[in-house]
Amino acid sequence: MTDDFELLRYITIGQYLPGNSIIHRIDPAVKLFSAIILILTIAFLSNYVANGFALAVVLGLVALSGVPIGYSLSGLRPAVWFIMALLLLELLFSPVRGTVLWHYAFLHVSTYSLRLTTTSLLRLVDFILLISVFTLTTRTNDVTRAMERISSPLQYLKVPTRELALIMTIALRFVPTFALEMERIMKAQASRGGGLTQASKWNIVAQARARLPLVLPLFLIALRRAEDLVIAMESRGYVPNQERTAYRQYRLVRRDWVAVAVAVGVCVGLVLV
Amino acid sequence: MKLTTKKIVVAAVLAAISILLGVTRLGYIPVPNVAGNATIMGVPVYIGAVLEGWPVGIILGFIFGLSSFLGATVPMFKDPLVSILPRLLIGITPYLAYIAVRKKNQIVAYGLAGLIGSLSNTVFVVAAIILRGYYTFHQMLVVIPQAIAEATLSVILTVAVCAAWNRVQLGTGKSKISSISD
Repeated sequence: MTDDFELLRYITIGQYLPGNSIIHRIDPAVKLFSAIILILTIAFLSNYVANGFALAVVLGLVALSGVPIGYSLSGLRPAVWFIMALLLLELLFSPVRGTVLWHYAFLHVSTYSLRLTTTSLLRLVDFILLISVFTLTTRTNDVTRAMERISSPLQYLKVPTRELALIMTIALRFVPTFALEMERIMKAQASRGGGLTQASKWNIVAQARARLPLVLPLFLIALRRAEDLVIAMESRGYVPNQERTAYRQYRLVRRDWVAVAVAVGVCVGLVLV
Repeated sequence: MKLTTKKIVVAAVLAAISILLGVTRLGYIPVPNVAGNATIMGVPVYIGAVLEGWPVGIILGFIFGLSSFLGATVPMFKDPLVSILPRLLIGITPYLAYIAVRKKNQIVAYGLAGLIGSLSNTVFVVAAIILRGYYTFHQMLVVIPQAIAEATLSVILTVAVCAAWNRVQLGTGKSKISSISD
């Protein structure tokens, strides 16, 4: 019963696995850039050889970073049956193209649907491993700074990249705070005999009404905190859209350039295969 | 686009709520269908667009997309072109719906923003899934019950939060929602 009120333990954002591997030491912006181009490249791969090669590269990165592979994939465990159902749907009901390998009544497995299913499964595994290698070897502050540095060319298009990074930093800072607020609201409602009512699954309006006493105060508390924070920031001299300095400076060294070169090389290779 | 301190901070707290609703599963509401749960994680995006305008909507849409991409456990949402790209647009549509109607009736404008926001989320994401070749149009028809549930939830929550925050009287009878904020 008390488990229902412990929200903080679900929050795994900002989890960091300390280490001294080569992946840990590469500049965060370089890591983020490499991860983004790898993810975008893998998203477009459609043949078996390229996908196999991509999986090998990703597994190599996992080995280099020293991140336990079982830990990275553990997020998949509760969703295994759902994923299987989705993949089966894709395998059996996709349009019939190529050679038909197996069919029964209206169910068809063709070379096309088999390839589609295999590549989407491999892509899922690749992405989960890549993302966990990046997030587990990089501190949250470095992640937001890296986002700011990578997106800085977008400033010429009037995209407020510095402000975006600040928004991410404040948001991540507030997640645990709001989790505690939410716990307080849930306990307050439960002690009054309210809280998560057991409305029928089919009654969507009743379901929504049951969430209102929990979610509505959360939004209002958050917006009120926002007003306080605006005053606090402005009274300390914060002015938006201004150049800002940082305590920690980053300088790219040789291994960072090598890492970029390797990442670009792998992407070009994957596209050519 | 120029951002004020207020826009930055409101975007940040709403983003925090969106992330919190996602990681604690409080943002998922069980709906009987095959396609999974209805989610209210998009609601902070629509509220941000209504309260602070479309730039805040786009930023919140991006953060919503990013958290859905990072937390996804199904193949199609682990694709940034499905989970992030369509979400950039869902901050704009509720804002347009809101400014179109707000002169006539605030409450209706809030509700319409929630409705249009939720529907555009469904339409753009489903379109991206079909365009990327994961499923065909006929396979995607299974999301209809979920889309209806999400739209209903979005309308109720968007109206309740925006009306309470801007102290608009709902006039629903015995308990006035606006009294909660005092």
